[in-house]
Amino acid sequence: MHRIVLVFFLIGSFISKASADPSAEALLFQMQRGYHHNNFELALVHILQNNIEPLRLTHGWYDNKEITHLLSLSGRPVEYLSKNKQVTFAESAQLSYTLQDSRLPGLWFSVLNCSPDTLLKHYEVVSTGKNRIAGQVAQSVRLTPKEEGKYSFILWLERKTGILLRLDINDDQGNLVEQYLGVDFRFLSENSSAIKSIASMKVPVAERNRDIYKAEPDSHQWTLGWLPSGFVSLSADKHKLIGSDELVDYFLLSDGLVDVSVYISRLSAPVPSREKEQFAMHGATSILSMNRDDGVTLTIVGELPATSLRRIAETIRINQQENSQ
Amino acid sequence: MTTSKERVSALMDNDLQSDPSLKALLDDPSASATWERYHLIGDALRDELPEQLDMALSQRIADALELEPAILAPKPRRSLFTVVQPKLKQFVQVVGQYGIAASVAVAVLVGIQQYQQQDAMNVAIKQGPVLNTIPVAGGSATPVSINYNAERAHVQSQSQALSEKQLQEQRQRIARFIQDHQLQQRLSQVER
Repeated sequence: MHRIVLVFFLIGSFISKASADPSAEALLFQMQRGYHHNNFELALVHILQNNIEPLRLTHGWYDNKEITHLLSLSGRPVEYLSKNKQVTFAESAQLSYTLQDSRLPGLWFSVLNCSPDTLLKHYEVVSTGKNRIAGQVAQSVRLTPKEEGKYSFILWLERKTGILLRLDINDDQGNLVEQYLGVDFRFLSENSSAIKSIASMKVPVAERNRDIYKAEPDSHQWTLGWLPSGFVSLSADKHKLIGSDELVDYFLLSDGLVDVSVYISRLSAPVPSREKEQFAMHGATSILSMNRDDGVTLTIVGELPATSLRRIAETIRINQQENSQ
Repeated sequence: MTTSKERVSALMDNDLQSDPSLKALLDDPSASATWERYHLIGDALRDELPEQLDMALSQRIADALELEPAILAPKPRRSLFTVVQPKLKQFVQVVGQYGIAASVAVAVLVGIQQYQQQDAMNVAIKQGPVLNTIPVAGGSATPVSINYNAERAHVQSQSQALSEKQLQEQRQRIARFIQDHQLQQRLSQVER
């Protein structure tokens, strides 16, 4: 009898401990549920190295569709609207377009739409304490990469629902490279007119991705070398670089959370620079361009630190057969 | 009538004591005319009259308020989407490969931070696990800190070697690659 009481007591204490302090893994699942199931509006600022952009995010359900709307609040209006997987991109005053099966841009949405399993595979997830974000009590969770060469992430989740309120992206020295900082948060009612008016905005007819993008098939003579852990090649083709006539061999790599684009071109015209290597950053998106001695230019773009991009570039090789010709 | 004028005067001086007298004023149409006239006189005395007087303005505002729908009904949000015409088809046909990209591209990129070669190495080394200081060609050591301002200053001093035109071409090229990357992300349909 005493044993049974003891067992119940132990179970009880486990349960109460679990409910008082959910594990970091549980918080990740809660983040997804909280985000996808609630109607809310969050004003936030998106901070890059030398640029701050105020945004308003509205999320909710209307007519059995998940509606997400992101609007820039200063300067030229830029807005994105997703209804389930259909996303409208309105970034220019002249033209907007809708893709049938796409995703909202930016790491904020990458984190929200990445499965917790994928995150747990590549990152150590640690719950790190409480803070106050956008007027709400928030629980912070740190995602540290299990292997070097990736950024770490800190998420702040609204305490009760798990809704993401702030996202920091840091390099391995803890320096902030990009940040989404919520400043004002409110729940919207189930039949909120805000969601309704967003959902009923007119959007261009949805295009199928494969009708939009027709690239030549992969004729690569290139072999990728080192890749950060978890990265695989999703696609390979040959296409003209956006806004130019430059034809490039292309690889898209991903670990499920962030993406890396590899561009390889043999330069017919010389680059307007004598440098062997160029590097730039746009928030967490790094771009590294390397002019090799054999006339090949490698350009790597992705949400990874410079060291990783350089290592990817340095280990790309020409296939043996091609080489011997 | 006199009392009404007195009340208006008291109200203007913020001396109106009781709610009933305020209510009496509100119910008296001539009182609002008096109110208007008194203020006009005051403005004239203080030399604060606008160049053009619109005596009927308050009436028009009142009329407009009358026509307003229910106060709590939110106005539909003004949106780009309603203005923008879906012209994509035609662009796709003209451009063929990479329809969207060639015609619309993605958002104009603001705030790209560019580094010269030396800085790129510095950044890379700073992000590396072992080294704490960087031996520079001149023999002096630079303390480790990602200080964007300092690096920007560095870029500026070095970049004078490149002409403004070359720099602009470089920036455009970098922006094109990032935009192409973003477009590829939008087009990839992988379950994550």
